[in-house]
Amino acid sequence: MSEQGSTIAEVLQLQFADLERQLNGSAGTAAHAVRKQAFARVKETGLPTRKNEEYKYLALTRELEKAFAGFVGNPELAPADIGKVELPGLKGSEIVFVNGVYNESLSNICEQAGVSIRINSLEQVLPAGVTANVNDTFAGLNLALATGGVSIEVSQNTIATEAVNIIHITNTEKGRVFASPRHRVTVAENAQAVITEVFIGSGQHCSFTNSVMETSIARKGILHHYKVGLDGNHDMRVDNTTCRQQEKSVLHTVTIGYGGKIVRNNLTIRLEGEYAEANLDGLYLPTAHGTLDNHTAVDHRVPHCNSNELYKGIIGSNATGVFNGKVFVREGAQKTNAFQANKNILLADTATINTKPQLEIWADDVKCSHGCTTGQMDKEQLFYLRARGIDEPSARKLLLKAFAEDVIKKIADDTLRARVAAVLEEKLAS
Amino acid sequence: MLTINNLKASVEGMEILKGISLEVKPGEVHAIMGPNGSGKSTLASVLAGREEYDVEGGSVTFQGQDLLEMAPEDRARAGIFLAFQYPVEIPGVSTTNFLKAAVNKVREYRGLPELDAVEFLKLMKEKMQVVDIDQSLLRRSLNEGFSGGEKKRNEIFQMAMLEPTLAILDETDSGLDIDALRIVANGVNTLKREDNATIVITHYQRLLDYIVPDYVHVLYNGRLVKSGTKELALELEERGYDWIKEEHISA
Repeated sequence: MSEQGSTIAEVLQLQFADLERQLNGSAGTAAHAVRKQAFARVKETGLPTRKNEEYKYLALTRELEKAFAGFVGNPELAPADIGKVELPGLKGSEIVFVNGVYNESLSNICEQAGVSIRINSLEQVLPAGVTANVNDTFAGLNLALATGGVSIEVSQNTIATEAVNIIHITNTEKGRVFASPRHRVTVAENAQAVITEVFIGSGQHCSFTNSVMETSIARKGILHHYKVGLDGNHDMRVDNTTCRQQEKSVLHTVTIGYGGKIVRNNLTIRLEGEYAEANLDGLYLPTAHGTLDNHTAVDHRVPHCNSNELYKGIIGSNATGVFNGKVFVREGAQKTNAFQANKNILLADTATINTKPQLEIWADDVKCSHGCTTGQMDKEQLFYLRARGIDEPSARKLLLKAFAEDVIKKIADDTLRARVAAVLEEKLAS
Repeated sequence: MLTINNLKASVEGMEILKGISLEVKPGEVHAIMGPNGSGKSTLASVLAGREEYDVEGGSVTFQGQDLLEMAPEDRARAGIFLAFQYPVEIPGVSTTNFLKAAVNKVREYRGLPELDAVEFLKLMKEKMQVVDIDQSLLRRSLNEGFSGGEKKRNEIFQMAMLEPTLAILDETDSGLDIDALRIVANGVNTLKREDNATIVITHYQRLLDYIVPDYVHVLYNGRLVKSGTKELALELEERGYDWIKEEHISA
């Protein structure tokens, strides 16, 4: 780590050059070629500004310019700093990354026949085909710069009995942090898995995490995938999660956003086999000046698939929430059922929500619906509770918890659900 | 117990209550009757503390306290209970859950220890009998998908749980068939004691066959224009409200 870049483009260029220097023997490999190609595309297009329709409501690139001027690399963390890290205490394997680097001493991997968990195997994984949303510049940037990650494969007819928890710790106490984790989950035919990702941030400097999670579910496979954002007040993050689903596969994915300065979740689901089912739910409570942006896309490419989507936002203070839900029903994808709902409660006049359902339907024998509501707390409900002796703050909390519960109850893992509910309680109390 | 003195109230600048005075003593049942739009529900709302209503004048004293200065939750804790004409639906909040919070807030105010889960359940089982309500209903989201009768029974069940000093029943009979009416009225009668009181607000005399009032008042055009005993209700049933209106206009 040597020179410093003043613009974000220069910073990225230096990062890439550093990475190439570290490649040692793997320069010139297939993986290196993939990275070079991806980086060339990022350079060509540049990071998206607000002129880009997909990033219209997100001043991310501008904030990155401000935050990362003169950035030379992540700070060294002493083992003592890392030792202070508090893990969320979830059941199952815990695979911990600190500032994008795998930390073996904090991690704990439960062994099971038929479940393969490989760490930092990117050089093998990258050339094996890229499924992530490469149209997104940040996904492309991750492909170029990804340095740490885990690859999980659940073999045919195997039920992974222990959940795999991937925990990203961002610690900026010693300086700015830029991380590009990249993970892959492959659920083979008739297999089942539970994967949870948690993002935890702390420290007074800013950070940018540009993460990718590529998943695929083969015929009759079931994947439960949870993503919980406990990002710190100075953390920025873009996450690109994709899922390719084959015949009769089922996906349950829940995305919870509780913090961060700017967090963007891109969730892209491709239904490629008939009778596949995708359930996608989300809850977002941005912090006082934070932005939480969820962009989802469900692509019905074949007939007889179902998708059910429910995203809910509670937005107060000067916070901003964004929801964009795309549903594509391709020509020939008859008998599709696609349902989408987005509901928001604004707690203050200064809070903002930008919501946009976007349905593009080319088939004619389908059932598709979308609904979107934005409102304040229901005055009648509040009065009813108060008229029974419940004070106003408690009544508000009770109603907001009930509102969020619709999403939280979709988390099948008891420990995680309790943890997510407890954080909600803390957030509503403050 | 309750003294209303020359109470005037408006909503959105329109005067609805134009000077109401009423005295309610422990052990009494008062019926307030009147044609639509006379201000019956406004009176109930003002007593319960609904914020859309502006009090323009007069006073309300409840057990020596200035009721109008109290927040809705404090009125409830002090012992006022409003059975809503239109109980709201609250998705995601079960009757059991919210009542546990409510009962304990009220108990705290009265200096009683908090009920634990077992004690609360025991109390619930006992009070469920008052209105013959099923436990499965109480586990569901509050009033969501309840029939009209179930909603009203739930109101009286809550009243049984909270043991108010003064219950105000706002058109509790509206939308009830005769069986539900009987169950609801029976519940109210069971809860009647020497030291509590009830104000029954109704358009029809029908409910008063089951909840027998000590006093009947006629509210017309924002004023209590006539008071009497239960015979007045029968007379209203027979003659309608027109003669009251005429009497009032000529007076």
